[in-house]
Amino acid sequence: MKRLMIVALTLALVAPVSAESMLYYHEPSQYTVLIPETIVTDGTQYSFTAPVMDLCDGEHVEVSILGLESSGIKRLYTSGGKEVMAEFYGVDGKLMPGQTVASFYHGQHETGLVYALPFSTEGAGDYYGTVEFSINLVQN
Amino acid sequence: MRTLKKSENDIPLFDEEEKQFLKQIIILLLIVGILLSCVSTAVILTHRFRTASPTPGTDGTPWHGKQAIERQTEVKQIAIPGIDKLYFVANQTEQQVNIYNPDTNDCEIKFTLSIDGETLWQSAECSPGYGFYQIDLSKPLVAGTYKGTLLHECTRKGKQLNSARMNLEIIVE
Repeated sequence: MKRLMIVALTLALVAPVSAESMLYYHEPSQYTVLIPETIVTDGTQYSFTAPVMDLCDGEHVEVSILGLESSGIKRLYTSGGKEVMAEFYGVDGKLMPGQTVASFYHGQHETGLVYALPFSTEGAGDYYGTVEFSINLVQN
Repeated sequence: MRTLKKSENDIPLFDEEEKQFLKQIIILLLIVGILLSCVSTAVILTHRFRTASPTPGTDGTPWHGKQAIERQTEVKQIAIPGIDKLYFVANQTEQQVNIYNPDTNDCEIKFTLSIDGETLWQSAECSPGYGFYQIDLSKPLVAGTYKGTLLHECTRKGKQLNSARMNLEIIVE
């Protein structure tokens, strides 16, 4: 019996044993988008750039413009209350609220553009207003 | 000396009608030539006259309204680092995050984290190169997945600049 146990133990130690383990690692998407800090409504074109655009498969980053009125107009004001209406444009023409102005895919560092033109004005003055950009990681 | 003698069998090269037609063509070509030379002379003289002695009303081009003049102005940009998920601990207000204003920016950023329009956390103005590793929510969250937004309001010396809003998933475990 003792001899049998020694043989069994030896076989257990010597015999090759294999097992599979699944390895998993997830590195989340990383990106940084540069937006224009101001937009001059004189037709100057602003392109969107991204120094970092490391995305997972099947994902892309969309930049859209918020804060426009339903007709695609943005109102800018002087400190005295004078108003100018500006229309915003992208690569495909006049922009509407929420419309995408740039779509970044993995490794892409520049795409899309936006520019604005005055639509109507109440005369000379310094008109101010700001735009809100929406930047979102979305599935393709 | 040989003389050419017209034989009775000779056939004239052109008949009278064709000769008349040819004459008309030649006259027409001469008239066109004269006209072209007159026009070119007039153009040359006009050009010399303009460059030599400009007279009010003759210089410039017909006015069709103002043109857009491109200016080489520096376009300043704001770097917005992407965040699509935040992982929070359930039933506590203190949470760990990585929210920052990149040091490449030249503006302050005020961050606002919201769920369904309700503000959970708002920072004061955060300078470039600064950020938040830890935040204190206005209320604890129960476990679950929430859809939230992170608003970046950018300012410089009190002047408001363009802003950015991100939709993100808040996973509370």
